Amino acid sequence: MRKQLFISVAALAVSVAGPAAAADMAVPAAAPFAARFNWTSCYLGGHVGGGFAQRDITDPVQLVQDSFLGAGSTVGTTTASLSPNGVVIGGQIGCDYQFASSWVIGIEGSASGSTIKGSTNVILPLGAPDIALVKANTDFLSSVTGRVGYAFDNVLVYGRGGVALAGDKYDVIGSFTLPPAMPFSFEGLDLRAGWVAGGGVEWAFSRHWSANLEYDYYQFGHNSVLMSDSINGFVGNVDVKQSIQVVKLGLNFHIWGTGL
Amino acid sequence: MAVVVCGLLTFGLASPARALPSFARQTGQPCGTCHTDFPALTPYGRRFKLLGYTAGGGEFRTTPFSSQAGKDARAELDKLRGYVKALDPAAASDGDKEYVPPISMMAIVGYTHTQAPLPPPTDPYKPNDNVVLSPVSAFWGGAITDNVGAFAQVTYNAPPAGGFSDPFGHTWTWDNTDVRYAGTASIGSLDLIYGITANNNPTVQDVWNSTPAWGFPYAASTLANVPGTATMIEGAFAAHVGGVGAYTFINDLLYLELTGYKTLGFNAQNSLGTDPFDAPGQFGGVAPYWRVALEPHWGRNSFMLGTFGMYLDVHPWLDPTFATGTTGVFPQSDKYTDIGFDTQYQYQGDNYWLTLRGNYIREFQRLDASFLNGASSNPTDLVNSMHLQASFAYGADNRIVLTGQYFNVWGTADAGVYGLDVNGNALTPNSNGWMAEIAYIPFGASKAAGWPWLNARIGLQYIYYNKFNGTTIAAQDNNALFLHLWVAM
Repeated sequence: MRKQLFISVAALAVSVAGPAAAADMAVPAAAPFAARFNWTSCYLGGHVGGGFAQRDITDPVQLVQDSFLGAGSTVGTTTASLSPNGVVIGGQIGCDYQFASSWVIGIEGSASGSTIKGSTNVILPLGAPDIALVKANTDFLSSVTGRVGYAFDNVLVYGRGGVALAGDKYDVIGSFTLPPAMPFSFEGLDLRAGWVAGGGVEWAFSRHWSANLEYDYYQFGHNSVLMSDSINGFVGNVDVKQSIQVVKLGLNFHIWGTGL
Repeated sequence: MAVVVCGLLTFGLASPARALPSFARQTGQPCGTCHTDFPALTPYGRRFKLLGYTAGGGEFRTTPFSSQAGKDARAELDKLRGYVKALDPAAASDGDKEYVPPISMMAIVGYTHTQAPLPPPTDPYKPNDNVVLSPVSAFWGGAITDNVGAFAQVTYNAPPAGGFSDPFGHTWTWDNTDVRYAGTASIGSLDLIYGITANNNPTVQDVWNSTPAWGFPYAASTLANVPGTATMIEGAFAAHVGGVGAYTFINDLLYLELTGYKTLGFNAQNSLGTDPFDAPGQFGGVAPYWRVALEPHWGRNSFMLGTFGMYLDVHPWLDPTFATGTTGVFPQSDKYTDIGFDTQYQYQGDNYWLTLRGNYIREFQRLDASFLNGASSNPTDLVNSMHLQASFAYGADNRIVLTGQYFNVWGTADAGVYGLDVNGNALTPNSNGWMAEIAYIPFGASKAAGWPWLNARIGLQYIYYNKFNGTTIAAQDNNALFLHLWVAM
């Protein structure tokens, strides 16, 4: 806007000065037209950031004790709350369309590998008592989202939302004293669908390149995960409630770069 | 063998030829316009396939029903794309040309040497150092109408070492098949190629050689051992399914596709020469396949970043050995979610092509049926597959192609699926190693006597394993040398 205003003022000044002035002074060259950045394009890029998850796993104590002692042995419910975190690195492709001057809509597919992991201990009161280590790991995070934004020339402020997938692994490991102490190693894999919502700001710093800072909240709700113990042949379920927050910095290449 | 001798004789007498000769006859284009290597595609080759194998321009009529309007439209589109070379002016009047059905044949004869002899039984082959003619294929490759074309393959495969594992093994089978309807349209500022594909192998319809069906190696020994685990989308249901899907290529940039697959019935597969028990089972419903690819290109550079994947609900066979005489499946099913990512960079130099490719596929397995029935030890498993590849094709005629690939398959340990190691621990699907190949393609760019009726490729390939089926012990016994001659007519 400031550029356009400057150009208009400059044009007015030239016209007011008239030809007499042109006779005895050089007419300055007109300032080149500065086009606004056009966000209509497809793009591809990469991102890196941090992921901060919240996991509530219910009930690892019952899983272990009822496996060794029989169903119904455990009284009460135990929820292991974990706060795993780690690095998120991935890539994205998408397309945007700018309309009504400054509004932008688009769709994006994104996939990341991650090192979001955490662990906690829970007590097994019916053992010696014993301790079980509960671990949670997310190594894959992907989403397909739509986004809506408002462009201030080469700066886009946007929100996004859509569907998401997370690849998770859970472990409950330790030993349970009957006696004797019996090792156990429950493992469960999960590919969970959920939703994601977030927003950010994207800055086009050249005709083709932009950088963005984005926050996303992933919610995967409750889900039952089947756990199997390869040592003893036990099988059981835990309920996992999961959400992840991601803050990431991205870099995109816009194929039909214009303006600037 | 007579076919090969005949081919060799012609090969010796003739000069340049093209890739699948029927495509060359139809388009009038040299092999090198569509292929950096067989069957690796150039940017123009990809667009020829997207347009339904229907682009003409050769010395023969494109279809029995060719119309000048259709040809003009296609020529205009080709100019728009900017990839096709100038059409022969003499080809302008399609109706005056003779029609030759776009039928081709190919044969691969290869010598295989493995580091250790094959385990018995190996009949009808020797334990090592075998020369085998396999596969031998016949194709329909080209246009049917102005908007419909097909790549359809029927193949003879030599019997496997030790014979077939069940009574439904076949030597003749239907092979990769992709029938397309394609059209073009402009909607506002969007320039579209759109189409419908009916095919029998997920990813066979894809135009980038970074997806499984047309991935490297393009020719492989039928005798050497290969790792026992791959993701489902890497050919587990090839020729066992039928699928119909829609695709579009927007502004020469963005490719979108959605296809649904269903397994054919047991008798239908058997009638088509496919052993139903070679696949893990039967689908419970329609298996969706998706594909998104973004291909920006500038100057002589072409880059692609994409994703593809599939969800399969598979009811395993009750008895894949047929020992009990049943062809039934379990009422429970295993669920497989395959999510793949791939990329390709291609550069056309003055006298060479440089291509870099990579793909990664992650398969999440929810083994509800296999775990319940004791075929797996885990209720869920994970399999990952990765390939990183570089290819350098130097020259036009007398083209030399050097290709190297690193491959890696890894996943969770599962005694029920993969067995136990020597220490009694559950094995993993892990296999990794390197593959290198040098190939010589005598005919590439020029027109000469014999064109467009013949093409050939001679390759020397070596596979080295660091790990094989979960263990490094004796992994190198599976290393294989494969010298082969590939002739297409």
